[in-house]
Amino acid sequence: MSKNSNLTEDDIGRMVMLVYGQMGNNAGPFWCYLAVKPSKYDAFQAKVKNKTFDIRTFDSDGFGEIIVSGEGVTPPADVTKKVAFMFNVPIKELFLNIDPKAAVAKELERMKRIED
Amino acid sequence: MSEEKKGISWGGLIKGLVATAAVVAGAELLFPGFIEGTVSAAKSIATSIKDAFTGIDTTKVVESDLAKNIGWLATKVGGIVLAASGIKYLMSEKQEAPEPESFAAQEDMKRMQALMVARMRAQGYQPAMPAASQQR
Repeated sequence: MSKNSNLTEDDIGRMVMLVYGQMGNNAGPFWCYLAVKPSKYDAFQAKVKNKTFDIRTFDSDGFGEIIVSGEGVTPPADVTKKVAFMFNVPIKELFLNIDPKAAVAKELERMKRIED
Repeated sequence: MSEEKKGISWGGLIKGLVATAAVVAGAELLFPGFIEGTVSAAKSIATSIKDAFTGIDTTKVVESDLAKNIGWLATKVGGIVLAASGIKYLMSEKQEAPEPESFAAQEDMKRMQALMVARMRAQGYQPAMPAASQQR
């Protein structure tokens, strides 16, 4: 049996998300890149949709990791470039209309098939 | 642990987000990120972390907020999904692109930014700017 047979979706990847909105006290807009655990993706999306998502407890709630955050409407191009570079993803592959859960499931299957 | 002068915080939240409850207008998928390579996951994780820190001048890492925070991020999530080459690049203090950007790369960036804004608008996002007295 391959060592990879026990891998979970959270072992092999993250859903890298751009979250944006308004800070309280009229402090202006913000943006934040998050690395969401695939197992928490649905719960995360539900919280965002229901307006119950508190970005301050994202990490401690176990949703994943905060990559970078900042003030402004959109992240500067160089920040997005660095995030893409960190994850080894070409710029032109960002914001594609893909099914991330299917992509993770496919990658997990591929990893599990790899023998040591 | 941030570059507060730029209003950007790597590996954490900017002060404005820590201080107040934020209204999240939307969340868009940037991309699903996976561990790199075709070797076993365990080997990739170990190799990624090792490669990321090998050859890094730790004194410089301490001196640089960005590098320090990327280092923290690397220890937390990096071994799982971050590309070792990307971590090494970001921690190396060479923050310029390794090679001059081609015209095609610049066009890719413009298209990506236009797509980003279009996605935000599709969510009905019309951000209010801070009051003039609060602008920096």
